[in-house]
Amino acid sequence: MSNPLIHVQDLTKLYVNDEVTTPALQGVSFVIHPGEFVSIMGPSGSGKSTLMHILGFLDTFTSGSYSFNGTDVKGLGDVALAKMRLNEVGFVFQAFNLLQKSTVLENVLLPTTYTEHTQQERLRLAKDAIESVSMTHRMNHYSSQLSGGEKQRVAIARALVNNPSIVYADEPTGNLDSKTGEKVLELLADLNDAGHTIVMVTHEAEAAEYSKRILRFKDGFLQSDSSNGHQRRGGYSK
Amino acid sequence: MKISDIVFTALNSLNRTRSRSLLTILGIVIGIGAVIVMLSIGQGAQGLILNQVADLGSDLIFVEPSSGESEGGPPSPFIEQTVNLDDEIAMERSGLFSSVSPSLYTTVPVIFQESNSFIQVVGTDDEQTSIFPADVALGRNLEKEDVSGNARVVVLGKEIAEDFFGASDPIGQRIKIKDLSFRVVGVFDEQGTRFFQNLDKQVFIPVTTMQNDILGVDYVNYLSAISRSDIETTKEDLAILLRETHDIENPNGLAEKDDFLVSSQTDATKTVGTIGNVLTILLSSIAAISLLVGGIGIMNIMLVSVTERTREIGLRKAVGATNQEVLRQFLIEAILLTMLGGLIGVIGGVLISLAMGWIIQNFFLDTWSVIIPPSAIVLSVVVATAIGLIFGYYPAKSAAKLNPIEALRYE
Repeated sequence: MSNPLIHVQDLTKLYVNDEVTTPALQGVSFVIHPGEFVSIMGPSGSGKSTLMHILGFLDTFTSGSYSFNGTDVKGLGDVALAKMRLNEVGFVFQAFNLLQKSTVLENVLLPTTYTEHTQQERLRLAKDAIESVSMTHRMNHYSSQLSGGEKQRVAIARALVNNPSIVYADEPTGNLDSKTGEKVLELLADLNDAGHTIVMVTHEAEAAEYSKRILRFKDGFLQSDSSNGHQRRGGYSK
Repeated sequence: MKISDIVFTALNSLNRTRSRSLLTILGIVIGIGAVIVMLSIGQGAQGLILNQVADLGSDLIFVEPSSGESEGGPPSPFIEQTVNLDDEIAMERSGLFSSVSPSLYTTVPVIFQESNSFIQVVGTDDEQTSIFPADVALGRNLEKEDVSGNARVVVLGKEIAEDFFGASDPIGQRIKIKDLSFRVVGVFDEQGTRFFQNLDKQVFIPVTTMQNDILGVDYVNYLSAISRSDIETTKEDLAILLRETHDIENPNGLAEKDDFLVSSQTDATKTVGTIGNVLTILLSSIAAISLLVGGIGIMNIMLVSVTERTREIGLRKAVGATNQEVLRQFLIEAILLTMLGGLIGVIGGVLISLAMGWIIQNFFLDTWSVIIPPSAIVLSVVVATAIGLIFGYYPAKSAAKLNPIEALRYE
């Protein structure tokens, strides 16, 4: 098997607030390899969002170790973490977080402005990413003119634009109706087929069905780590 | 992130809040515009006065009374009238001067037939025109005999002659100055203004007639003289001479012991320069206050902008923006705002200065020159940029400090 992309060992996160210490993650260990599609499941307060923030270099952890592609994350400073987010990670949020007064193309271009690419190269990357989520025909529309499903597809294109090693999706179907949600999940599965590594946080069992592996959390502990033998596909066509 | 990207992004977000941005920079626009207009007018006025002073020639010396005896403490409101025609005679005899001429002013009713107006009357002598050159249009100038003979003759300024006599010949006509009858012997050609006095609206009579018949005094307001040699040496020699004439014991040449003041065109230039500098500092302080207020406005709106765009900031950080890059983006937005304000202010200020210059030239003073100091423009742009930098830093810093997770959750 290939070298692990994510290697987490005894990961612990404590929130300290006015002498009250709340454990969010307690000694979590797992490995994710390139090409996987992993769901992180659990009820509210299980620590799944905290875990995703740590894995996505947005938050720090209290103890344990986390190595990404062989790099020890513990020792990285603010600037290095920002560079990791820029080059290695793409985020998809529940609330899309598109800039309302910008077009689809401008939204997808946003992460490339922090890279050293030329303007031409950026445009090519953005157009490719938009193409990969089948939104080319809406490229010059403002994001406020899009439907919920379309917005999430644009957000996925934005996550892909810098060719990240991994895409983190935080409840990507949470703000969508079930039919639109299915299409988004299909898209994520397609992207996974095309070689993208995807980690999705969800509390919906139906959504997790689309992934190949499910990590279940409760009260900050990893309860189970199981492969999903009957990955759901179907109904969705581009 | 490249600087061009930051500028582009900043312009984009300013464009999205166009009307708010324009309102925000109004304070800067007004502040910078005011600086330009004030500097332009200040320099114009200074230039005008300096030109008039320079026109007098660098060999010109004035002697005027001075409240000499005050030694510290508040200056006396009364200046003793200590300069008189004996001083003039002493100066003429000294050989230091090619011309010496007295001036004594009053404003009294002047009457010709039905015309009756208050007019400034100058008591002087024939040498006045050697010091301040003026052409005689009709008749003759005052003569030595007029002065020595206490003659009741008058030379009119051009406008007075026109007001009183219109097209008819004034020479030989009689006018009444303070109920005394004077014979018109001459009319000066157009002389214009000197020290903001319109010489064409004055009339000139022998200084002795003025002293004895009109005012009943023995002093003059000041003496003007043209120095034959080096002006500084002449001033010193003149001071010694006047101390002798006035019986003043002042071997060390202390100004406060003298009851007279000797000054030259150079001194006047210095005084005007000092007044100009004080004026500039005063106006600059007012402008600085308006720029301060403008800067606070910028800071306020940038803080609002940071709050409004909390989620955008969170997103930018999530996709890889460093704190520095977020800081720079907001700082450059603030700087672009103030620079734009500065630019509009400069353009507006220049236009207003030109318009005011045009109005002054055409309706008030045709010798006014419109000066728009290039240094003021450069200074304005620099100051505007600095304001953006100073007042934009705190909002930008607070944007850069935002926690991306909390920023993304912000409602």
